[in-house]
Amino acid sequence: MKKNKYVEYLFSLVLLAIGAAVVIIGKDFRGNDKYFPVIIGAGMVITAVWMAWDDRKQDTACIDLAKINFAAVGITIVALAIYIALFRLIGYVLSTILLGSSIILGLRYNSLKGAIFWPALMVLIVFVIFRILLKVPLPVLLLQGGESICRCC
Amino acid sequence: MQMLLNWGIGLSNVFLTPINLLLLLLGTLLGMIVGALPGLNSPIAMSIMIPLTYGMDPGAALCILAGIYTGSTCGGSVSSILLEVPGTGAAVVTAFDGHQMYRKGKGGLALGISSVSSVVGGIIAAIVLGACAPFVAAQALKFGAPEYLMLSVMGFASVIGMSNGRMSKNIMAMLIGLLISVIGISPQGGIKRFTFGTHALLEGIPLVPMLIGMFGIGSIISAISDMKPGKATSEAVKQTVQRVRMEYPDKEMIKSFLPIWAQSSVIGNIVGAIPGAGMTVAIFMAYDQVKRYRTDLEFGTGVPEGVAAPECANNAVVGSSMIPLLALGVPGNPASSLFLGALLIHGLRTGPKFFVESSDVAYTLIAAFFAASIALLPVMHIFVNYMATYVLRLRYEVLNGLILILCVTGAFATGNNDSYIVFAIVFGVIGFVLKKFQIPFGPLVLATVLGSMLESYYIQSMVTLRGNFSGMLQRPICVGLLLLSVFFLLMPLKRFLKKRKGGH
Repeated sequence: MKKNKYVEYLFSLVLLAIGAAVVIIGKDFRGNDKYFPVIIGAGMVITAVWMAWDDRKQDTACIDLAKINFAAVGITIVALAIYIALFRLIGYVLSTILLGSSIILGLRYNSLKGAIFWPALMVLIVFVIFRILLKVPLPVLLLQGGESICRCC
Repeated sequence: MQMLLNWGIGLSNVFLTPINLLLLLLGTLLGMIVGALPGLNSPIAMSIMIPLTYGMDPGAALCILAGIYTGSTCGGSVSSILLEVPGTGAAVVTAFDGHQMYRKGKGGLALGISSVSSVVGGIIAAIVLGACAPFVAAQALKFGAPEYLMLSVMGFASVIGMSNGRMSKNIMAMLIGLLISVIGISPQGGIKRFTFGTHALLEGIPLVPMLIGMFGIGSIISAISDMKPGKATSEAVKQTVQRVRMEYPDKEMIKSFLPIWAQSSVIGNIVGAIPGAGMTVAIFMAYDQVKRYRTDLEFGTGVPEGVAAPECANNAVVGSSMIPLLALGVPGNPASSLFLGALLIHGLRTGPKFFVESSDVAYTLIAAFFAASIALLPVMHIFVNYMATYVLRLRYEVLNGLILILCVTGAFATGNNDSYIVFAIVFGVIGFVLKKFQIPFGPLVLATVLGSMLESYYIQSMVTLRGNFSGMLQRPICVGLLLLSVFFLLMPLKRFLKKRKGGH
């Protein structure tokens, strides 16, 4: 119970820190470009304090840590991070089937065949729609060859 | 005359173009399925559907999205009535009397009343949308930068004043949205703000991947986080529902519903048109009003009027929530911001000039809402009689996996760029965290869209008014918008005083 309250305060503290960082970074921007970030950052700092004050008045915390399956969330986030890396390495089709299967299995679906079949079918349908009908250049490296289209790095 | 002609063009684009009509019906059915499944809602379905509309004609894209929005709002009542688990937030109140009717063996009738009420609310809202949006847009054509600035301020004020829940969290959501909006190259000086040396952030955060992440991926992570260790999700959500057949209200019942539909549609239309107010406010207000109107009935025990009022009000919100978006370019709720995203993909921007430059698209959207509301009746009939029990037994593990596939593919397709998948995943995690701490998404999305508008118009207003902001008070529209902003900001104070009075 107390732990939930502390986490709630911690969340307000994180938002306060983000607000403060926005003010510090924002005030270095030139001319009028700094006003909005500084106002937003200052607003976040004030509102974070207000949120913490509100939390103090509430008997129960809005978050219940006991009801969150942290292991499953962690695995999902790691799976998504691996997916991004695999997407660039082995292309859309295989990486997306792997992602779908891992999430379905992670949610404890009891059939391995189903966990592979349904994502494969969905990827096939989506691939046909996007790649063939909508001409979206989904990368298919291992199936077709070609170069990575990573543009963000 | 011109308006009638435009209505004719819009209706012919929907009813006489087979592909548009087919997509509208498909969208309505898909929306109904999504709406009926607890945990899924229209923004999730719409966010994963937007990239699919990429290669479509704008009219066809809007038809499918209007169908999803309308269908999901009505579909939420199915699980509300059959399981007492609202499929969407819009159907929370329907469960009070709807499920009691189901338990008394009148589930089919409850579903019939729900669909007929939704049709009435939806049709009235589409007509109101068609009549009001062009009028408001025509007035807004006279707006200069100061008026737009005040309009943005009013948008924020209405979010603060009308939203449910804790005000501090609503304001924090808005500030997070504003922070997102300032990322990228600034509109005035052209300097990089909060890009941290990343090229992908130069153009700011793309709206559609952000929405896909927050609504789609965020919901999946949330579903995963609710999973009990060592227990299969399917066991936790396995539902057993009896098969029901839809029954429609008779003539007498319809006659008694007429005043309820009238007042609920008025509530839905007014609340829907206010940015940030949302469906939940409308359904509770409609339910409250019908309780006052029919004091002879014991609500909460399976009263048909308790289903008719909220179902009419929530579908009235669907159409009217498009008024600020189409006429002023201000999305009133997450669903309308998704319409904005869909239109942006097609190179269209809503706002006062939308009815001048793209009147065919604008009226196609209005007609699509009108048609989708009519389509609710046959689609709901098929859905309830032949599909609902199967849909409610769908395996959530598989469904979540498949939605995730659609989310990542959709995010990529938005910009043909894998950094968009990264955006969607990052916002999925952010969305999950915010959801757990009950930070609402509505104000955040609205602030993201309004933020860039606010800054640009602030700069332009400074130039127009030569730095003298008291000049705003000499502009009647600015004064009107300012007064409205003050009115909205005073709403929480009114609620507080009312609560205090009630407490004593």
